[in-house]
Amino acid sequence: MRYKERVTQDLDRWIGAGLVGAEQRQAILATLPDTRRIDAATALAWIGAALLGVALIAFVAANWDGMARITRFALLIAAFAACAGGAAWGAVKARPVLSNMLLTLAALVFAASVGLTGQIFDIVGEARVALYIAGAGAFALALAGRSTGAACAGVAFIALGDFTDRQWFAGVESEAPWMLIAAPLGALLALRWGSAALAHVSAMGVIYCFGWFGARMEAEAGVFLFLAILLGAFAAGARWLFTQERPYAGIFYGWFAWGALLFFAIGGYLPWFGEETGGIVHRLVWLIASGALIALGRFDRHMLVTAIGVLSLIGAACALLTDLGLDLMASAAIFLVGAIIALAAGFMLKRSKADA
Amino acid sequence: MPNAPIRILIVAALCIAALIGLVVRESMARDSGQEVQLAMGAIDPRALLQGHYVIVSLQDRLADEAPCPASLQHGIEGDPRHHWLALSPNGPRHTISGQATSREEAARLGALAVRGSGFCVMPAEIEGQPREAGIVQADIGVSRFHINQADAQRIERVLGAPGADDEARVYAIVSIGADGRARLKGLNVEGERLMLNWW
Repeated sequence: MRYKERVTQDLDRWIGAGLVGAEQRQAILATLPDTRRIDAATALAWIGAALLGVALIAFVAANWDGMARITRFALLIAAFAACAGGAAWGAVKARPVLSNMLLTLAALVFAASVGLTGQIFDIVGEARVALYIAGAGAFALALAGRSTGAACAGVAFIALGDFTDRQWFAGVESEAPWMLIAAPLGALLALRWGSAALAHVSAMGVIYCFGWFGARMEAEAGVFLFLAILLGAFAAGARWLFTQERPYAGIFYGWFAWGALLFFAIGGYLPWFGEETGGIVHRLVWLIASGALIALGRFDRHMLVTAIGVLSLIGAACALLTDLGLDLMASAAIFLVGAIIALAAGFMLKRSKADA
Repeated sequence: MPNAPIRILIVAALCIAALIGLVVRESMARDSGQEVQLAMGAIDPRALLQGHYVIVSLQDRLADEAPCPASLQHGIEGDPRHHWLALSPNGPRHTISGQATSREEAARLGALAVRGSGFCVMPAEIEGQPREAGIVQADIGVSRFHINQADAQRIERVLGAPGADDEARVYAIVSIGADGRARLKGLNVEGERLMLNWW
C-alpha cells in the first residue's frame, strides 16, 4: 500500500474518532504528492523501444562481418551521436529523466565504441587504457548534462580499469589507481545531485581505495587499524551530514561504518607489532564495537547501519568461537562479559534518558 | 557557462573527434613505419562472442644447428613490458635475433629494434636422432587480426598444416613505427596479402 493511501485510511479513522476535523481532510491530503505511476501505454512504449533496440543490435551483429570497416566505424559514431543528441534534446525540452537515461546510454555506447574501434582497426593498446578513456568520457558526459547514470558508469569503468592488468601487493611504488580521483568525485556529485545509486557506487569506490592502500603496505595490523580508524572518522563525518538531513549522506554513513569494521576485522588476523595476532582481545573489541554500532543504528533510525552491526556481531561471535575451539566454559565467560557490558550500557542510556 | 544541451553537444563532439583522431593517428603511424614480415605459428584462432579473428602468435624456427640467442634463451632482467627485441632481415622476412632492456642495445643485436619480449626453446637432444631446430616465440603487442569468418577458418587450416619443409606459411605483416611500437598491417597467407584497410 502506498504512503498516501495509508495516510488516507488513518485520517478517516482519526476523523471518525473526533481527533481531526473533517474539513481539514482535503487540506492534509493535498500536502502529500501523488506517487508517479507509469500507465499501460507508457509501459508498452518502453517495452517497444527496448525490443526495437534489441532488434537493431541483432541486425547489425548479423551483418557485422559483411560490412566494410568504415561502415562499422560510422555506425558506432552514429549510435553515440544519436544518444548524445537525444540527451541534448531531452535537456532542451526539460525532460531530465530522458536526458539522464540517454546520457547513460551514450556513456555505454562510447565505451563500446572505444573497444570496437580497437577491434575494427586492430589498434594495439592496453585494455586498461581503453577503460580509463571510457571512464573519462562517461564523467565528461555526466558533468555536461548532470547525469547520475553516466557518472555511475564512469566510476564503474575506472574501477574496471584499475582491476585490469594490475599487480596487487606490488608495493607502494606501483601505479596509483584512478579511483583515488573518481571515487571522491563521484561522492561529491552524489551529494550535490542527490543520487542514491551514485552514492552507493562511489562509497564502494572509496572503500576500494582504502583496500588498495592496505594491499600496498606491509601486512601488519597497525596499517589496517589505522585505515579502520580513518574510515570510522569518514563514517562519523557522513553521520554528521546525515543528522543535518543532507540527502543520501546516510548511504555513505552505512558503507563507511561497514568498511571500518571490515578493516578492523582483517587487522585482527595480522601480526600486532610482532608475531602475535590480535587474538581474544581483538575479537572482544570487535564484538563490543558491533554491539555499539547496532545501538547507534537504532538511535539514528538507520536500517543499513543496524544491519551491518548485526552482521558484524555474528561475524565476531563466529570468530571468537573459532578461536576458542571447543572450550565452552571460556566461550560462556566471554559472552557473559559481552552481555554485561551491553546490559550496563543499555541501563545507563535508559537512566540518562529518564533523567533528561 | 553554456547551458546543458550545448555542453552535452560539445562533450559528444570531443568524444567523436577523439575516436576519429585515434584511428587517423594510428593509420598514419602504420603507413609511415617500416614494414617487416614475421613468421606465425598455429594457435586456436577464435573465441566465442568476440568476433572472428586470427591470434597472431609469432613463432620462428631457427636454422638447423643454429643456437638460441643467449638473451632469448636465458632471459634478461627487468619488466618484460619494457623490453626490446632485435629483428634481422632473412631474405624477404625478418627473424628475431635478440632481446635487450633498451632500444640502443637492441639495435646493436639486429638491424631493427621493436618493443616486445620473447624467449627461445631448444628441444632436448635425443641420442641417435638429428637434433630438432630451436623455436623463438615473441610478443610485440600485436595479438589479433580481425577478419571475416571464412578467411579466419581458412587461415586456421593453413596454420594447422605446416609445409613439407617446416617453413612457416603464414606471416604477420607488421609496421615498426618511429616510436618503436609494432602495428599490424595484415597477414601474408601462402603469398596472398590480406591487408588491414578502411574498406
